Amino acid sequence: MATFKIAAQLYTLRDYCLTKDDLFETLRRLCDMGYDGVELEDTHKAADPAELASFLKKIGFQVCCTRNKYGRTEFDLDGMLREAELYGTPFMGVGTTSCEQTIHAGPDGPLNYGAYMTQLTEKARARGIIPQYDLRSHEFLRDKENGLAFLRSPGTPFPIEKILASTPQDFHFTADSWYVRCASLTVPEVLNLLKGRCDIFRFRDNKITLNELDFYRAQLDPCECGEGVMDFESWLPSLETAGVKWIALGQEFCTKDPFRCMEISLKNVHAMLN
Amino acid sequence: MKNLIPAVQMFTLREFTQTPEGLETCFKRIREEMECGAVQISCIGRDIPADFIAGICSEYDIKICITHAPPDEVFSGDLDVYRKLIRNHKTYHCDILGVGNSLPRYIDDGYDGFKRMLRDIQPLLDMIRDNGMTFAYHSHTYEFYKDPYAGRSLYDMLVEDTDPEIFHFIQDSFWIRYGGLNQAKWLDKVKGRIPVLHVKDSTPRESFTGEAEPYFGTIGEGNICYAPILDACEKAGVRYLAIEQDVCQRDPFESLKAAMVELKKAIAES
Repeated sequence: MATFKIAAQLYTLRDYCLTKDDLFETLRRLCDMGYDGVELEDTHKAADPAELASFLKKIGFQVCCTRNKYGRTEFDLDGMLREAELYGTPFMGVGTTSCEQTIHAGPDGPLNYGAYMTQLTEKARARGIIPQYDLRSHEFLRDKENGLAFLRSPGTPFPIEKILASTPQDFHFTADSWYVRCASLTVPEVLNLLKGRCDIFRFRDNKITLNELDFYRAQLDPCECGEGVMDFESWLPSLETAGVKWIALGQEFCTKDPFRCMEISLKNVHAMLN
Repeated sequence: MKNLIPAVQMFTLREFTQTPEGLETCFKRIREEMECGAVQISCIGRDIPADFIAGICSEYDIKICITHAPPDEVFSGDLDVYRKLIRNHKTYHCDILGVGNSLPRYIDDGYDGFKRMLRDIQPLLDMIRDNGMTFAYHSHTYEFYKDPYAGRSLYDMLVEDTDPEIFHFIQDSFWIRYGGLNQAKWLDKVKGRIPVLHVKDSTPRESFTGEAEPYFGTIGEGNICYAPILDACEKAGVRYLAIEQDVCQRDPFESLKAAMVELKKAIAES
């Protein structure tokens, strides 16, 4: 079995990263917990990247990837590339597409996006950086004909298939178990689609909560990895086959102290991997 | 090719099955247009006599593989009602009495409510056992709610606190997928206790916030791949795959016909 490195999704602790001091303290705590690295997100708003890079080196904490919104690629790509270099990670997040760029944009929408990202990938390649697309779930909606995404013609490709086909092999994807579930797919199916182009897989678990208004449509709430219903262990062979290097843990919202949640997730995933 | 039998879950056709004539028309169309010889009856008109149902089963050579009896009868605690339920099942030669859901008075009290449900249903389970039949509970997603005090889910309770010889299960491929659960793992958990799997597709649509949102779909038109599910069904001892589509975006017969073609193809390729 491959050895996966475990990263923390800093987004889980976003409210504890709003000043430089808080950000550094949060990163130190994650490092002390035993995480191998971290997904950095929006940190340039709280701390100078060079100073942050120096701090991370001092405490011996790796950067799994940077995460950026799509819009930043249009006005500050150089800043994004510089940050990835400073942090010593080859993986630079480029956000996701909006629905306006995919399912609302007609058949050419994903292709236009692919052409733009091909140019971006060439610039990144020259500096040894691999763009990371943040895979959500709308890329698995077949089409919008008559406003009914589900009345597709058999064989109509997913937008994700168009994006994969219209971007270079070194344009990669970060997938996320929460969104795989939204798209009614399984993790092995998605990993098979992304084989060789998925470096980071985000574990996000959900628990079932009773919904008094409509029992059938149970509420699905975020929880610590391993505390919900997702079967992470069954995905490990697919993660290995797909070439995943990092597993990133986190959750959108916490019902306990978020640091405690991160500890629980790490403990559960370590136990599963060992 | 796996030994799995396609069936129609007649809940899909509930608007057409409220009279004897309507029910007979449905049987005829299922046999002739879908070339299908097995159904689950569910939500049919309550006044339709059991011997009439037996008659159309015979006429159209259709087997009722399982039922969804009305929950208010199943959980009534009324022995006369239970005797009638069993008599009806014997009349149309169905030996699995199923229920499609619990009741709000149990569900909204979570774990304690389900404990009461199991207590209340025991007289029916006893009667079912005495008549050489079995019971089957159809689950959705909410049964996988894990009670933080008990440390286990409602579904765990149903599996662990009931007689495996009598208390069986009907899982549903859509509701399992909706919850983010592993279908193979949960089929294995009830291995030998799951005669029927409800099958439908999920054709996600764009939610108000832009993410994909699961929705009931016709098999072959959505995102559920059936090959690995059929493998797990065979291992768990599932016999019937009952196509159920709670809401159809077109004539339910058309949805069922299209789904039946795809399901038979998946079984043939398995």
